[in-house]
Amino acid sequence: MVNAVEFDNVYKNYGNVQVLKGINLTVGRGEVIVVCGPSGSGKSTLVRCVNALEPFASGDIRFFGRSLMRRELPLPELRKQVGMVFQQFNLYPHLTVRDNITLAPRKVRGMAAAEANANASKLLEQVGLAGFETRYPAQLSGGQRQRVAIARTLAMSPDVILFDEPTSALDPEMIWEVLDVMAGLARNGMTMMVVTHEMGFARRVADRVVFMDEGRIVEIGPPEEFFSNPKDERAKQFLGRILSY
Amino acid sequence: MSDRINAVDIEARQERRWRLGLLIAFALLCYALRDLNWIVVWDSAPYLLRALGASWALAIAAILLGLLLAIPLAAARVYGSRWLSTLSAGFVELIRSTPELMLMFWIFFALPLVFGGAVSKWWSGTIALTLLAAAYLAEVVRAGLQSVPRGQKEAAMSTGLSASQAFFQILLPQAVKNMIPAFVGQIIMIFKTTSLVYVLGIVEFFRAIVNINSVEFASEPLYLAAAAVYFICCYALSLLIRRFDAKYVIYE
Repeated sequence: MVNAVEFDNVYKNYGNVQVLKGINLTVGRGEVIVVCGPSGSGKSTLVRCVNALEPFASGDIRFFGRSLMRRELPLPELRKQVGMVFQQFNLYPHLTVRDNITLAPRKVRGMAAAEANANASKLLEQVGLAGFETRYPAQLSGGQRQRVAIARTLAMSPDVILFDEPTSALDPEMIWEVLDVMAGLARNGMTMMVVTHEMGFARRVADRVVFMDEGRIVEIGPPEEFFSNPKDERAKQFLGRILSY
Repeated sequence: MSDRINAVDIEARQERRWRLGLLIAFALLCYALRDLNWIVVWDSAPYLLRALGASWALAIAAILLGLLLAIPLAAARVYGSRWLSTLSAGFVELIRSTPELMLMFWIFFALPLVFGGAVSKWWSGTIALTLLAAAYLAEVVRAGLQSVPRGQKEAAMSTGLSASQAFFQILLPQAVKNMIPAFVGQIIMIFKTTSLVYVLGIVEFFRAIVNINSVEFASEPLYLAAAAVYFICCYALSLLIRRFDAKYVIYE
């Protein structure tokens, strides 16, 4: 069976700074990959390459077997199939929750307004925000905003969802409500790449944990192995610091 | 949100206060100047109003056409390739850095060379004012677009919206909200700049005042009336545009 995402020796640089140095990674269908590592290690860049928000310099990424480098998948097609959830939510502040969710299905997929609205209500229920259709993002808490952002992404029925530090901008007591929704998605078989520092989430939900440092994947494995017996020296250090409190 | 409403409240109170002050000052002034030859203004009112109509027509044409040009200019500046961006910046700098009067002459004498025949003074005036408006408004729109967080564009693109859908559905509406204060200033400036097209022989409001004065020699009442009319027009424009601002308070 063809894999969802395959990184094949991907390099990327910003000017003289190498941010990805030969990434090889395979993400199977329905797999949940948690990407962690110190800041500046290239985690965000890694996931942002998948939907081409960041172009990469060399190597290739294959999305369900189709090469991004050779443009076998046009950008709009790719982005219809890859959802993304951002650290800062990036909801559209001038639109209601409903319009935030239905904009892309209507404009990109040509879905009828009634159908898109019904779908939006269903998705809001799924993320625990039934009845929030006519609110504006400014009227929501951080956790609620991020759940709307997840619903917005789900509205396009993507095959893969990228999460770029989805809980890093949230107050601690709101983190769980977002993680709960994400865990639910994982249970339903969504393919996910999650950049996060939430090690509890990684332990319970991830199929594999990727640890990055200085643009390289230095350790990769199932969570129980990664957490109980990390092999790489930097991974040990990282875990020591992050889990010590 | 409550902070914002508070600020709006205070501003509104301030505005009511200075409006009242202005009204009182104006009444006192009228009383002090009651012996001036106001009949001149009254008698020439039809002529003046027709000329005022010309001023408004020029201003509205320049603002609408200018905005139509300003939006692509600003989009090219902010999102365009290096070439497009440079071209847009060059246009804006060129127009901003040359005197308005010179631009009017230049348009008036250069257009016939381009089109191979006479171009009416109205067309010349409208084109010159439109170019001015485009350059100044492009800067306003650019600042507005740059004030929209980068993540908005990324979110729009990542859900599959095309660049133009992202621009018109997501980026421009948010830019407009941030543009309004600067926009008010530029619109007023454009209205006042219409008084310069007299050099092309167009009789707009200010030219009409000057014309009457050269016959009647009644500078004091005429120029006082002119000041009052310009103030009323510009203030009305400002109020009109700020009405749009109120619409946006909810999602602040």
